[in-house]
Amino acid sequence: MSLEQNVEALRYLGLFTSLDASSVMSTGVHALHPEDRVAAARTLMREKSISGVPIVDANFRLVGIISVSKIIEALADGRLADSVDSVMTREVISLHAHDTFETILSCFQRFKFGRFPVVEEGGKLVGMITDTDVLSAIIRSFYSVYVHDQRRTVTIGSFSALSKEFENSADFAYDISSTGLENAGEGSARLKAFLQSKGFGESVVRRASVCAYEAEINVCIHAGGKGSLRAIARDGEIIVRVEDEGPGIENIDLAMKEGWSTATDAIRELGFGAGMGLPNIRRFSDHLVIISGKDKATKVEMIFLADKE
Amino acid sequence: MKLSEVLEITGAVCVVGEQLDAIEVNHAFASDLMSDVLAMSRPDTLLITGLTTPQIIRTAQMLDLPAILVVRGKDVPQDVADLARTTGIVVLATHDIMYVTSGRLYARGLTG
Repeated sequence: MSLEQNVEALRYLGLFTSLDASSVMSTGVHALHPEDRVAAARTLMREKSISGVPIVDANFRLVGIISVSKIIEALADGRLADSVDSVMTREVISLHAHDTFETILSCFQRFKFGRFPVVEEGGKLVGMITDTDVLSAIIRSFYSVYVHDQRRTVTIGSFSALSKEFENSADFAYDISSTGLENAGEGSARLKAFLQSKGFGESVVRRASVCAYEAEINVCIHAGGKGSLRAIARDGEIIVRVEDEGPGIENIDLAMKEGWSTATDAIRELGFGAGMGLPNIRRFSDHLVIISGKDKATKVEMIFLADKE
Repeated sequence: MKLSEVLEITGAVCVVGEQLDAIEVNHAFASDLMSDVLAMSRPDTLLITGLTTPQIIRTAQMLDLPAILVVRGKDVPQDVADLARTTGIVVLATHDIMYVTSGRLYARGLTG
């Protein structure tokens, strides 16, 4: 697969959009200063089983990197007692803490190095990313995704978690903006009217409305009442996407359990927060994808098939 | 069961709605947990609840429930009544508790 194809595949999957370099990198970084000896770099690499050491100045700004091949060269030349400064690579390819997962991946593919230092504003070293870190991040990401599907045979052919259609436009869009629970349901009520106007059947409209309502309530309860409710309704299929900016669902498996909730007593007194929201959404949707995580945005996408009536 | 019969059996008053003998319910669901109500999803159901938030109207609206019976003598706030009027949902209210109200309706054939 070419680099372009890989990056496109990632975008299509939609799974890794919330990963940036700061969430992928290892932070317990071993670094040396330019005045340290090459021998110290060799010892560090052997003891810590690492294949490259970043070199930083007194303010922890990245100034170079020394790799195994440089150590071998120095060994051959009898320069182990020289300073790191004299053998290190100065033109370091580094990543920025805010770089996207696509950028990280393309860096690995383009430069063929085993590790990349990560810097923040001002060039200060904050972490390192190796291919193992990338793999770990991918595995962690799968824990933050929930997929429930009653139409596996249809979706199995494609590998899309989230619908691509929302990238361009939606047939229905509503900005959720509620300070309490007072306005919760306004968006779902409008969505319901929209779906009825499109001629969808009573039952599928009811299922879609109930799920949109539960998701809208969740945005109001858990995400400060700020989010969006969008829908695409065509060809006998209703796709509803509800998104917010966090604080995210720390454990999606727990959140999918009936009766499990993090809502406050005040919310419970209003008739919600009984831990039935997401289970209800799973019950009434034909396909459900949830992408979230601690301190992450939450995306809930539900698909309802009209021909199920 | 016609809503006019519900009114008569429970001694409730009609807060929002008219022509109660033209609206029929075949089931009832009594709960203060709206998510539980949403989970049952059956259209011709009377919702019996002690809550008086706008969410009872929204819940009924999503599920196509024709009417809500508010128990325990709770006052229905103006904004909730207005929302019910706009969405075409009947709101009845009684001073009885949920258990008694449910029992009376059940005894007269309005089962779950």
